[in-house]
Amino acid sequence: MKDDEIKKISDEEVEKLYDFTKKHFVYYYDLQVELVDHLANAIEEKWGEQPQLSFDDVLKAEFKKFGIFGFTGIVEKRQLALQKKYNKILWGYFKEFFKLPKIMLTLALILFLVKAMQYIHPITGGVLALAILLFSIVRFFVLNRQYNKKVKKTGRRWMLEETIFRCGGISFIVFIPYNFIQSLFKDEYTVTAQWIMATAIVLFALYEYIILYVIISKAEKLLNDTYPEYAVLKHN
Amino acid sequence: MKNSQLYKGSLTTIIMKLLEENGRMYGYEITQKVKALTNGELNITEGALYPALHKLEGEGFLDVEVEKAGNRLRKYYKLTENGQKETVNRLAELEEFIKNMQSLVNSKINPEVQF
Repeated sequence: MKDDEIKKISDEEVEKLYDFTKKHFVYYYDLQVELVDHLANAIEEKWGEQPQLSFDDVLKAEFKKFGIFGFTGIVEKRQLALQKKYNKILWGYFKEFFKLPKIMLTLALILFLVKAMQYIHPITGGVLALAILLFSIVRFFVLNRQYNKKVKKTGRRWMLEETIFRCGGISFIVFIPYNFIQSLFKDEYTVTAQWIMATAIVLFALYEYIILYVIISKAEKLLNDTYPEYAVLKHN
Repeated sequence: MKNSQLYKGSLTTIIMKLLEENGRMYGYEITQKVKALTNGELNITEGALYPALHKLEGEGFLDVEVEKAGNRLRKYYKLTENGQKETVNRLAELEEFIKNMQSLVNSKINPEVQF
């Protein structure tokens, strides 16, 4: 059979395939695009051999090839791969604060905090750490609301965007062990303890700043680099 | 995939080799190409192909391009510069592996050196 004689997937059937992936727990548009094209190709190939078969029957048969877990394995592994990518981006920005010129700022902040603990009150460190944590939680929820609104408006979820706006998970809350928080509120510290604490608090602040501000501000560029379809759809 | 245990470790190398030869390819095309090259003997499952592609993409070995193909979008993969270097390394490693396996499998016990 010649190529142009082969039955092709209609626009309506493409929409049906998108619905099918959603029904099978693929909520992310980036994965839906790929799976829809795959299923469509497979169905058209089958029609080349047996054009009398119905769309639904061929789809059912093709989906079976994905195994008993369907698309779940693909979604989970994609999530892992993007999480890794996110961590790599995060680590890249973090490292910058330990290279010239930014390392000067990092050191100045640590020194400033140690002096504050010495001259104002030892509790300054603890109060500051708690303030950063509370501020971060608020910012986190604001970002999440923003993201949810955007998803509602566009109807599309992108896995990397979600990872960025969820700050790579809730790790920012568990980042400080609770006994460390307790130890922040003492009246007296040795000088070594002051330096360790000040360093830890500054690292924590930098981490929050990167996940809640720096990466968010670069989100658009990161998404464009990762998803060529992101740009394609935006201009359509 | 036929004899999946034996082929499993080589899946990413197979993908990279195909991309090296064909420039850019999309997922379904890769499965079909492998089937054709092995006369239907080797069938890459969808559940294994996409995670492997996404992993290689995450590692920076693959780049993606998206184009409209008829009434749908199609995602193409191609090797990055790093990916090209990695392909050479992995192919060399695979060839070494095949050579060693051949000498292990084909080694016949020579009765003359036995007592």
